[in-house]
Amino acid sequence: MTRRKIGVVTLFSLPAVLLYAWFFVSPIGETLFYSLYDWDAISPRHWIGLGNYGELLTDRVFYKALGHTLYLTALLFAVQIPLGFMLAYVLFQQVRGYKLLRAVYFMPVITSSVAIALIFYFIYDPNFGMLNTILERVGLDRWGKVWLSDPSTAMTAVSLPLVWKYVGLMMIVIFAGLQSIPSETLEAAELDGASGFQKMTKIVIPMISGVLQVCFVLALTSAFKQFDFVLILTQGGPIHRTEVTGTYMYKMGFSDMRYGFGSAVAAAIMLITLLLMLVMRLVTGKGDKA
Amino acid sequence: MKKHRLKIGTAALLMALVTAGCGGNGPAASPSSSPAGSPTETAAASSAAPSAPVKLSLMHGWTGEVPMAKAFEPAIERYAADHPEVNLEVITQAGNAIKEKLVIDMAANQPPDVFLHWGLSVTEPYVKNGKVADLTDLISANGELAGRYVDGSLNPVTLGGKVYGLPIETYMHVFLVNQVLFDEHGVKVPATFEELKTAVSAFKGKGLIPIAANGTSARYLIEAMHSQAVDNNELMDMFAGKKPFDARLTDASAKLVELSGMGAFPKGAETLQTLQALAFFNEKQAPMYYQSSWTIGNLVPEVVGDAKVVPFPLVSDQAVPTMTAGAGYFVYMSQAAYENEEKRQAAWELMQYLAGPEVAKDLIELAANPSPVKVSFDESKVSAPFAQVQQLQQSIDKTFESYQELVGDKTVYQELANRVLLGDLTPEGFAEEMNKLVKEHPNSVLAQ
Repeated sequence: MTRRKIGVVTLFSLPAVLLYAWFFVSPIGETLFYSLYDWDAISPRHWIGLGNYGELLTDRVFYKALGHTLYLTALLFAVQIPLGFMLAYVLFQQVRGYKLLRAVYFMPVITSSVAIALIFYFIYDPNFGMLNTILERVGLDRWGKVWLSDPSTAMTAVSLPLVWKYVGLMMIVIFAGLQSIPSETLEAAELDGASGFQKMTKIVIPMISGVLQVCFVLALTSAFKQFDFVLILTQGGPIHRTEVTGTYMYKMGFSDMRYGFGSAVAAAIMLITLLLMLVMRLVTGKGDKA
Repeated sequence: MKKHRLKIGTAALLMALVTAGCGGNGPAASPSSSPAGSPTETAAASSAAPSAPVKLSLMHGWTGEVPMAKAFEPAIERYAADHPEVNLEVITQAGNAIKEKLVIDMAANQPPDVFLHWGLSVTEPYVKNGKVADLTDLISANGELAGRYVDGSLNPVTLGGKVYGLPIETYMHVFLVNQVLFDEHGVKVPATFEELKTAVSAFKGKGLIPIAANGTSARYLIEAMHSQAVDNNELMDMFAGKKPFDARLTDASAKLVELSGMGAFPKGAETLQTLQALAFFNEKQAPMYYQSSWTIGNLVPEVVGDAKVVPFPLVSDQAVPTMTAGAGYFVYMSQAAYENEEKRQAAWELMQYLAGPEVAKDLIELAANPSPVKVSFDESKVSAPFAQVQQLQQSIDKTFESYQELVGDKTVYQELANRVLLGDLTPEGFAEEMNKLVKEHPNSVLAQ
């Protein structure tokens, strides 16, 4: 490549690089910088080094929030992705009206989170909500609960709107992956007498493993970014029973005016997410080699 | 060659556009603002000219569902219309979210010129960092102002002898009963804790929710029962850390647990917002309600006639009738506005108007919102429950501030009370944790 070409390439990529540095790299740098200070966002900053991280290591509420976030991640892995896969596979079979179904399944993704949260709120309402009313009508009122407060159900209840909202997104991503499988491969498998299960496990899943990896990464990041549903439904309460790392970071930074500590929570979230993604990469990478 | 120049030129233009787009978040920028003044933008832009209107920003949370919006928002519109010399920019953020909005604006050094907020229990960091103007001299210069408010109204915004805000709202915790439901079910309106338990049992048996409670009720009820049993001076000593919270707090929180165990509150009360709990009372599903006085403005016409304000039941023979009350909401001026002479004058005028008799009268008559301003109002325009609250306040011997105004960390306190309600903390543990709270998070206003 000539020097002139290098110059032109550099010049044309510079805006994108600058934008990326300004909007993505610098906030991370700033967050890490502020996490080293005891700062309420108003007073002069007071350098405390790794003090905020030391406090975080012994913070009971942070561990609780982290546990809830990991639970949410597991729920997304175990429910949202398999459900998205099933729906995508049904569409892939080009069942009657599959185009309409595709639009219907995707609709929650474009629906406002506030609207979805309110729907779930009405479902969960312990006094007049749909769920308890149905249980009561069928004689199972002893199963009725205060869904958003009971320790055994609160975290699941607050997670379900997120699971439901993005099933359609997973479906579309997986559907696109399924469409990339050459039809000849599947036809050849059928001619060879492969069963439906064999086609699924030996052809379909291995051939869309890259797409599934993307889905797992999406699920992981959306769990660690989770904020809106929790804030609208419970605000992380009662007594932190539904606290997740996203809401805890927000509360520390803005409600409690502990901007330095909130930044440390943000840095910890970033680190944990990166570590989990690395582990996933290692696990799926091994699978790829096999 | 020409092609290369064209490419380079296009790239330079693109970069210039990007840079222009990224920069320029000047002081005039305000994301959720709506101009309330009549002057045009052109006039506002030429603020250097002597006749140009003064640009002033006002941030408040009295918008949306809260009853105060009915009186406050039209009052602002009137002010803007009557003052063409002021280009008023109104920034609203409903509910408690205004706290977060203000933190962000303060941190970005772009505070609103005038804003409504709670007392020093929330605004102390701004005061201590010189973000909020000291109004002591301005108040002293206006001879009429000092006598405008009921005694003690300025205490929650006084630090080190300096006054930082003007009071705009008084809060009172009120016990409302639906007299018609009590009569229908033959239940006596409770005057003692034992009678309250009897009423709870009776209404529970009728399939009603006895007390329309929500996430704040745990602490409100504990405060109501505890403050009856302790002298005001002793209470202040407890919050100042000079005396420990003792068995009387344990007893008050045990009574809360007892009521909860009897099924006095709606299921999941701890997850409900204030107005959601009020809905039970409005729908005649709950015959009793204990909440802050501003909620009276949200009573629906169907129950206003049935509702009656009564003193909170006495917890023991020695208990003294007590009302939780104080000045709770204030108007502040930012230090930045104070330092600009032109803005200072305009902001001060606006503050005096907002915390003045005209707006106070509207807040009382249109929103049933008690005011710290000594103002006469048309009694025929206020609802019966509001008139009863006023009478009760005048007749009761003892009032005491809400405990959350006296603790050094509101969040911890609120959580402790809810832990008691949810059985996560014993009443004894609550008293211990309160002592720890006072020790670890001392209230600097009390420590003066």
